[in-house]
Amino acid sequence: MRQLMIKRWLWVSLWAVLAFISYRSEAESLCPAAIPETANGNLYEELGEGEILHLPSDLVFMRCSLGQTWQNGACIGEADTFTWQEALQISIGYDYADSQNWRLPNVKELSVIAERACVRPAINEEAFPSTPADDFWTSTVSVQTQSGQSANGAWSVAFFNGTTSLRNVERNLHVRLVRTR
Amino acid sequence: MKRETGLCFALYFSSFTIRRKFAMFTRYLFMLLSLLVVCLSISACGGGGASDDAPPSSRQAILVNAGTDISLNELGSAELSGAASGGSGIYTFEWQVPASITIEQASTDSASAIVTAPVVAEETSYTLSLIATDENGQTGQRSITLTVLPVNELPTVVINVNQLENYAPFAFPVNAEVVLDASQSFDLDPQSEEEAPLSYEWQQVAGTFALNGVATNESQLRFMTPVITRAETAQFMLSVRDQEGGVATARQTIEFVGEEGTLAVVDAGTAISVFSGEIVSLFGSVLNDAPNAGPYTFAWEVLNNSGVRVEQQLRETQSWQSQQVDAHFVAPNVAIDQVLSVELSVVDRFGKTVTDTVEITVYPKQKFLINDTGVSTFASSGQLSNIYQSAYPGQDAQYGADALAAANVDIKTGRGDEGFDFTRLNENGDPVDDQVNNNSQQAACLRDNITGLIWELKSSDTNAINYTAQAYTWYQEEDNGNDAGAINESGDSCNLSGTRCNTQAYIDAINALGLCGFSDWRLPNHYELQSIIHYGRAQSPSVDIAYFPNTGSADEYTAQVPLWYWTRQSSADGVSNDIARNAWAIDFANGLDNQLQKTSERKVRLVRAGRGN
Repeated sequence: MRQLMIKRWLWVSLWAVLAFISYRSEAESLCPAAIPETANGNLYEELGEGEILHLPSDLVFMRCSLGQTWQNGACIGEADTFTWQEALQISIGYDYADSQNWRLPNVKELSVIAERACVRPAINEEAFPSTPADDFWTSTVSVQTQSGQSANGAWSVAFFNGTTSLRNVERNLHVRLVRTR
Repeated sequence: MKRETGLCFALYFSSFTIRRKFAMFTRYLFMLLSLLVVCLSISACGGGGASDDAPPSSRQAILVNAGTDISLNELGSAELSGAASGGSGIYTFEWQVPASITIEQASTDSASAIVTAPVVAEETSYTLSLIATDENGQTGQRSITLTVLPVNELPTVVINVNQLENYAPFAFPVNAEVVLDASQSFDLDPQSEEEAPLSYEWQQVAGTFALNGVATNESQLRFMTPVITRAETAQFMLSVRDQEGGVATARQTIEFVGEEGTLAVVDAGTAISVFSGEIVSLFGSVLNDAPNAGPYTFAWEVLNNSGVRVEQQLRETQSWQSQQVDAHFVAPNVAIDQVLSVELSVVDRFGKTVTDTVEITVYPKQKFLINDTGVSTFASSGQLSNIYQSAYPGQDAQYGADALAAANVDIKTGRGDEGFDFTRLNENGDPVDDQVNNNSQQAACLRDNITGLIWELKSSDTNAINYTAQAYTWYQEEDNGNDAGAINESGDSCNLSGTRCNTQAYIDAINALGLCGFSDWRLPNHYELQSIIHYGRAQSPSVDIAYFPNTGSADEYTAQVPLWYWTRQSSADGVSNDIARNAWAIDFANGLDNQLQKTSERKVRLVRAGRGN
């Protein structure tokens, strides 16, 4: 009987350790309970080769940010940053996964993969591993000049919480490319 | 019968094969064959012709005949023979020769042997001795002299010349590398295997001098062609010296085609695919080794669709050796996939034309599932423009429904600014506007033909339940991040009967009203509310103002005051104790979004139907 108790205690300890480990691994992104998901895994279909299809929009996104390398289901390396012009220029003819039709997503396209149930990063990390919780460029220029915004602003999506905001085009932001299926 | 009455001495140069010691030269196995037969009648000499000057001693009862003295070229061979007499029984024969002499004797039963002369630098004499022994052990000896003459085969010169793509053999453009490669030259008779068999000396004997600073004593001559305008002939002479000082020379003539004959390298860019109505970015380039071949004339043309007009943009260039030739065109409206062959043609100042072609695949017009942004403006450095900017390629305005609308590719069910596609509905939910009759007065709701969403429209009537200036706290009993928000019990910011001016109360009132015949109105989520943002509008409001009137008041537009509209989405940012006190809202003055306190009073635009997300 005493041996059984010890065994149980061991089991409980093991589960506690496992639970702690899994908590630690999920702690990268904070997803408070009770907030509805907006871009969960059901909306995606894996295409292989580091591409993923967002079903509601029929858009194919790169799973890694530029600078990272898709390897065994993970995005390896540091995500690069680019000025807006660099981001546009690098997108044209970008050769990846047998396609040269990659482009910078516009502000509505990039916003559809924002997972508003999570922060830091506000994205589904299974679909888009190791996404920096930071600003990503869109292809959409800011046309409003009335509030002091001149043509040196472009829209970005901030994947720390999913918000859209204007950034000076000289800023260095991350890039995730998209293509139309 | 051992005594030969006539000795026939056959001398012949055997065929011999020299295999170069370098493996790379094995295909140059070289065979020389010569045969010389000299028959000498020695009958005049009698049986002992060679022994006249040496009378046999008492112990030398054996008389030996070793033939006559012989002379050979180096590496030449001769057959030796001899005979013995005066002894008893059967003789055995043995040749004694210096170590450097190769001799092959098939059997000691016979004096027959083949002697091969060594390589010599000068005429050299060797003594060859034939010893005969009879059955009783008596011996006899006779010597002859082998004289070896040196022979130097001159080296054989082989020059290989590199050939450049797009040019004839031996023709070279300006600033090109020429490689005259004589490393396959060879010498048949090197003296030593330890030293290099050959040495080289190159010189230029005709044409614009091209060998400044060029190593001219190696087996390969590598140099860059000079920049000259007109074509000319250049000649190079190579002297190859072997170890014995023998020199062979050869000349190689090549053509410098000059700038007038130098071809530009034209690249029409990357093959991509687009949809009908989208703007195709073309990035061409010209590289030319000739620095003075410009200015060029450029022309882009779609070879298999004359209806497509390509506009090109030249970027400033520092040098005619590198020029970017950007261009763009609007993809034609096609019913099935069409592959366009787009050619970049470049003519230099000498009139030479070089072309390259890129294939652009155009797909039929696309069915969009999400709304485009409304932006048809291009940005360049600090400037906004309606014109494509090749230095900022791949902008929003280039793709999607807005681009199609700009290209008059009709994809719409209804109408709307840019790529937006709306149809107005009356109080019963029936469409009330069409292309002919813009019947906006009767509109109560608006259908988005792309997303399938049906939107509530706002009113400027201060007494209307949907009066635009009315504001509501966020209140939602489900999916609320553990905070339902604020009931706003004594609110006076709305026209609802009762005092609760919150979002749920407004939803309940509209559903009770059955707006446009529907009772499933709700707050939009973030994606839905963002879908109608018109990011292409330079002034407030950021929405298609013709189809969403009264998003704010005219005064609010002018004053650029925020026009925050609620979404149903609680914000995960700023959550404490698992309670989300903020919800997402979008400012229709400029399109920015934010997370606002649920207790704050904001505008509301309800939605229903749609495809979700």
